[in-house]
Amino acid sequence: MKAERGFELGKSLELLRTSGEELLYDGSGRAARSAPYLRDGLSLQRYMSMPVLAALPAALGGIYLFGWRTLVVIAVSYLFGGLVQVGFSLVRRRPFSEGLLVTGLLYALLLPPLVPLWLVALGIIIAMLSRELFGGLGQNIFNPALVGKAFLLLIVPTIMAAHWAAPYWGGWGGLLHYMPQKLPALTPLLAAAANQAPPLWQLFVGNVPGALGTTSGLLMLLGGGLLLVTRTIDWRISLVMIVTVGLLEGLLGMMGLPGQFGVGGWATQLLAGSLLFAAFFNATDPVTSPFTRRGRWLYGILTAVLVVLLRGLTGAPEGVTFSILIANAFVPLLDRWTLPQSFAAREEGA
Amino acid sequence: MAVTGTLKTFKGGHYFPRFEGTPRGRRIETAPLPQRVICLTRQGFGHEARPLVEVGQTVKSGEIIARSDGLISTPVHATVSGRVETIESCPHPRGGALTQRIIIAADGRDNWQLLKRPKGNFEKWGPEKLGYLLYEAGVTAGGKGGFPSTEHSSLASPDQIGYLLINAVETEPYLEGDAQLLSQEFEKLLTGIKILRGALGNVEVHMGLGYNRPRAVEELQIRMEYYDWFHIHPLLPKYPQGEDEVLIKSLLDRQLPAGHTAPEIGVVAADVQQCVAAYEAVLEGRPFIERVISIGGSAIERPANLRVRLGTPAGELLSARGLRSPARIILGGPLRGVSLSDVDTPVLRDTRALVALAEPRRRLFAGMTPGFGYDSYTKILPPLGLRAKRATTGLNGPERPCIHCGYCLDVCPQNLLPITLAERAEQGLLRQAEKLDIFACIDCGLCSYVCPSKLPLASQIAKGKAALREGR
Repeated sequence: MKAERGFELGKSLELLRTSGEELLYDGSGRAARSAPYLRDGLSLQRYMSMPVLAALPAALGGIYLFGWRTLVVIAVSYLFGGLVQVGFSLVRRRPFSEGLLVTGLLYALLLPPLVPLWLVALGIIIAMLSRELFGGLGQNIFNPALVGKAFLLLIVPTIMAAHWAAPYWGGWGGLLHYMPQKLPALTPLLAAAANQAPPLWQLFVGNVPGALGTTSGLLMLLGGGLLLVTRTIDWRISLVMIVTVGLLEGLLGMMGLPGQFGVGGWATQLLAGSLLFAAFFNATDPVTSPFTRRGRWLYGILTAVLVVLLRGLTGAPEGVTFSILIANAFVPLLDRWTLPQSFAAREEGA
Repeated sequence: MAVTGTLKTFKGGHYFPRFEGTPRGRRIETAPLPQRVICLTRQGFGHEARPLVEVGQTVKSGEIIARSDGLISTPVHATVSGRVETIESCPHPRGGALTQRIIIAADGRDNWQLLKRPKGNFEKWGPEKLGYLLYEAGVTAGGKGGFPSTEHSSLASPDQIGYLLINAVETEPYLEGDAQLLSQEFEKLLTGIKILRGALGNVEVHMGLGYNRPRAVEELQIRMEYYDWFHIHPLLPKYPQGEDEVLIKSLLDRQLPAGHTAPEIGVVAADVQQCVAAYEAVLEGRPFIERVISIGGSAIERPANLRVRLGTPAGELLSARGLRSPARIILGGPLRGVSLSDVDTPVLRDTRALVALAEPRRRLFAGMTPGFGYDSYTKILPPLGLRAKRATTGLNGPERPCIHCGYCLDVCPQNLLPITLAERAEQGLLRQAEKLDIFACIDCGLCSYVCPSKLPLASQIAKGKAALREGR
């Protein structure tokens, strides 16, 4: 009995070792076993590293604006996410993979600056569960980072709303501080609703209260640009979504509808909140977005319409988070509707 | 004659960079006569041919040693002069179905038996005589659907054919033979085109040519100026532009129905080698027993474009050009070719290349190298880099589940859903796969190539197709 347990432990350690090795190296030198014998130089680690690389400016910006605690939040997110991942890997006896790499960082950057660390841990655990319970990498329906955040918003809305803070700005900024002072700071969209929208340049550089890594439009465009140029993400999702939101907010703002359509102007609506961040990093998650080209157009438009409706009708924060999660649910449908034309006609109820 | 002004191309596909070990721009050399050749009785399009010779019999270069005139087939020739050593059955390198091989020990004299030709100018012979001569020469075995003649060399007959397409755009890595033939045997090519056209009853000819060869286009314009049946189409050199299905779509704007061959819709596609072989058969009386192949790959020290006798064993050719082991030897290009376990596999009529790829030796620490040495469909690996790209048989990454990145959909030249087809085929849902047009797949292999999760999509789809064919 005892020997058997030892054996089991050895097996588990071996599993962790091999999957860790696979994660660190490109393919452990394995060769193609079937034609074609020549394969693309891109590995999934590299592919998954791109969003992380693209989000680095945002993370560094987060440190400058909100102090070194940003780094602690990210570390807690990776630590607890990693525990869940390794746990599932051991129970399922399957190697763990690079899913956490992206989720761990994007999730952390979406949180309010002063969020309690135990909430960070709770959220990332839920986020990882939402992937692993669906079957692991590639199987989940909802974007894990957003699931984690949405979970926190639903169970502890007051705590989440009470931990905004005004950013440091000028000189060394947050580099000399651990965390900002807790202030009753209004996020830009709430401020705009109260007719106190911050100046656009402040929104553009990120000198406004907001989530750790999402306040600066400039840094978002930097990261998003990198992802677009390298073809990591499809412009059909990000740009379609951003342009649609801009157009709709501008149009509805002019019509003077009741509710909060287009408050502060279309540019404020684009730069405020986590719209740009989510459009480049969350909406484009390949697993939870359509894979047909036309499906991606529709998905971008659908998400944008939901954002405008949620923001305009409810005035509640986090319209973007919920919009993308709702749109995620429609992805299988969008894919089915938009099969390449010549085949759609022939497919019946498959 | 007309040149289309706009560049023609197709949706999907991939531009391959130059890989190290590509014999680009190398002049065609003639390989020494082999000591021994292996002639398979099924080569190119058509059925098995029946051996006519016996063990011990002496044969001449170009003598017909197997034929089955009643069936859709082409005769098989002895490719060196010598003595028949063995006749035995063996698996065919493509597909593995049983075929026969006739092994001939060369006598080193290379005595030829030339084809019997009618007298006078071939332009006056008419389709029947030309077709018969091309059939006897083995030229009609080229292409995926064969070359129609009155001699049962294709499912279609010559009078059903309306277009002849000349494929002068090779886009698979390492394949340089046709490009060299185009520049070195230009005269033979032009005459060969006229011969093939004559055999089909003076049809329209459309030639697809890489736009990166402006000099060839110019030369063709000058030489073919007065022929109103001749059309030149500059094409983007994107893989797999040369495949029948893709070429027909780009040149004629027609769709080849799934699972059919070009002759069935009245189109014949021929490559440069086939035109040159037609010239050699009709004007020199030499059957198709020699062809130009490229030898290249990361495990080859001296890449080359070689004129070789058909039936020459692959191992002999490769070791003469400095084969480094461990390597995987591929008959054909690295995307569409087959891996060889037996180095005695001979060069066949449709062999465009022998490629030897080095096996991956070192592991790469992810993210620590910028990846300049590798080719990638995405721009995540920087497309810059002055040196030729490295190519091994390595997967270049761990195998992972599908993450729906959609690259395989973007790259598919037939606008299919490779991942969905592969999944259905794997799950045994073959009827569904058929409804999703699995038979429209042309086995270009690009879906497997681009997959970042390293899924063997192309081979899963191919297995699905094979299972469906078997079930019929």
